[in-house]
Amino acid sequence: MSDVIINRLMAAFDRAAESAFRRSAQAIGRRSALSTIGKLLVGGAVLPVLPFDRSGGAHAADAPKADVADGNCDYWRYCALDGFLCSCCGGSVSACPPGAEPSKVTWIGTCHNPNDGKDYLVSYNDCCGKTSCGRCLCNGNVGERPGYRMGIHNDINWCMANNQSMYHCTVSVLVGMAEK
Amino acid sequence: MRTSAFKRARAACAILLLGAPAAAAEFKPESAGTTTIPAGMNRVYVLDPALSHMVDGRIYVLDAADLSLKGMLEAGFAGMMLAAPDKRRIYVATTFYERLTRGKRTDVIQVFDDQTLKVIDEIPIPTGRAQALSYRSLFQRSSDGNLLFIQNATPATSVSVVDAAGKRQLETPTPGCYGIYPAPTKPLRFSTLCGDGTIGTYTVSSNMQSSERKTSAKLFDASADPLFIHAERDQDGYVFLSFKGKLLRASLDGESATVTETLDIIPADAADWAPGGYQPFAVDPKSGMAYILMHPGNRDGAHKNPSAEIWAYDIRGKRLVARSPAANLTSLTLSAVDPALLFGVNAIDSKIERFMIDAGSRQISRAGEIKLGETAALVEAPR
Repeated sequence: MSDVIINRLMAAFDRAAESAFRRSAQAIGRRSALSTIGKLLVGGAVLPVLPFDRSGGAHAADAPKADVADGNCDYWRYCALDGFLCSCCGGSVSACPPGAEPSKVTWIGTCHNPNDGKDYLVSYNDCCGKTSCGRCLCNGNVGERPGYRMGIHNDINWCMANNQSMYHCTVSVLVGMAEK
Repeated sequence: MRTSAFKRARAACAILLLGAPAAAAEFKPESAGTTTIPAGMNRVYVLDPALSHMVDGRIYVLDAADLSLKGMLEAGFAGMMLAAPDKRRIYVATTFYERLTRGKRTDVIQVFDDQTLKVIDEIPIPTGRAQALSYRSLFQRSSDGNLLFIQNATPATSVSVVDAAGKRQLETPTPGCYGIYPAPTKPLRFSTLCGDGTIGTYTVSSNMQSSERKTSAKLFDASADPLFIHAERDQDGYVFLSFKGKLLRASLDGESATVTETLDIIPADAADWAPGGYQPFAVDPKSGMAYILMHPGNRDGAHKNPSAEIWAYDIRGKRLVARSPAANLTSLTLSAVDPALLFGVNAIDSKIERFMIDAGSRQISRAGEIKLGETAALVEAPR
């Protein structure tokens, strides 16, 4: 990742707080062409624990397509989402569940939308003030960096600057286009 | 059938009643007690932030000999752990909310006795503590053991320096930097990794009123090949690991940091392999062997992926010595008392695993496991 993009991300990071509630008017295809490689198979058992990035693992043409509605971690917007999907917890892809508030500060991912071939800046707002949801834990890390690049770091509670800082779940809000 | 069964049961009751006075005379009632951790037991501490219910983080205390569970410590919300075996203490920096999940936030360092596992002291700290996954480098102590260093993030980063005995505190701003690496022999000094590829070194004044910062030259490329924030101690310095499999030996004792050597662990015929995990490697300071969690699929976003193998790399001989199958590990640590023992977190199967290292070949084989916890992140075997 070039420093130019990092600078753009940091700028987006600053803007993200204001953009948190804004739902993108951008039409988003419901189907992602990102292939899923199924569940992690260990000893024959399907284990939904810690679904690490598997996006580059297989691209079989006939693989089932990821659907935003089914809590699938392979949905393209979730490329750097580390946390519980709010869409599994009573909220939606970009809205917090009842009683939870979007975080004032966020981390930013750059995700490729295979439907239009464009890269989007995604603000991952944690939703705050309710107990940890515990459903649909995803662990996408595309472009993620350690905490010395805090704006693109995801192993921290981004509810940290909210009045109520309990972590509930995470939403993915499109806040801009990424220039290549 | 029912009638005869009833008769048999009645006869049995009669015999029991007849025998009752004699049995009562021999019966010795038990009393409820409490176990403690034997002082000489080698321990494995496993920090599980319990992501599905984060207010309930815990630390499991296991016997290193057989991984049996011996007790637990409470780690609160996004707690950090620091074992101090020389003081027989375990420090846990964590957060509590007044109404469990809401209300006033209180951050403290809980001081546990490492045999009774009871809280024996509590040190209040500022509420800017990084509520992060429990990386080792986010909670450290000085080389003499007297100062505790806590990573803050609001998200602006700083480090709180806490005098564990006198409870004096100093907050040192560390903008753009993250992770704490105490100087090996200078108790008032620590370093931190910075987003511009430098290492910042801070020297705290002896009265703990101020600190001075010296910035190193650019030592790594935070964009193209970032360093994991987990680091290991070598004999006289630190070893860092990059996403693409480079080991950096760093000297962090001086006023500013230097890198003394860079080693590429990836051979040409394994270019697709990369290190991964949250605690992706362990170093034996005596032998200079590094044990690294490795997985195939070297691409952006795979740096936390679980292992397929553990590689044994000889830092002094500068060569890859052995590759051993070891699936699904995301954290690895070496026993501080037995350099032939590794402990790992298997994040996929929610297991803690024990491994033995062959002294000659450095081949690694599994020698025990326990199904434990939900989302264990950090494993330590300090005594």
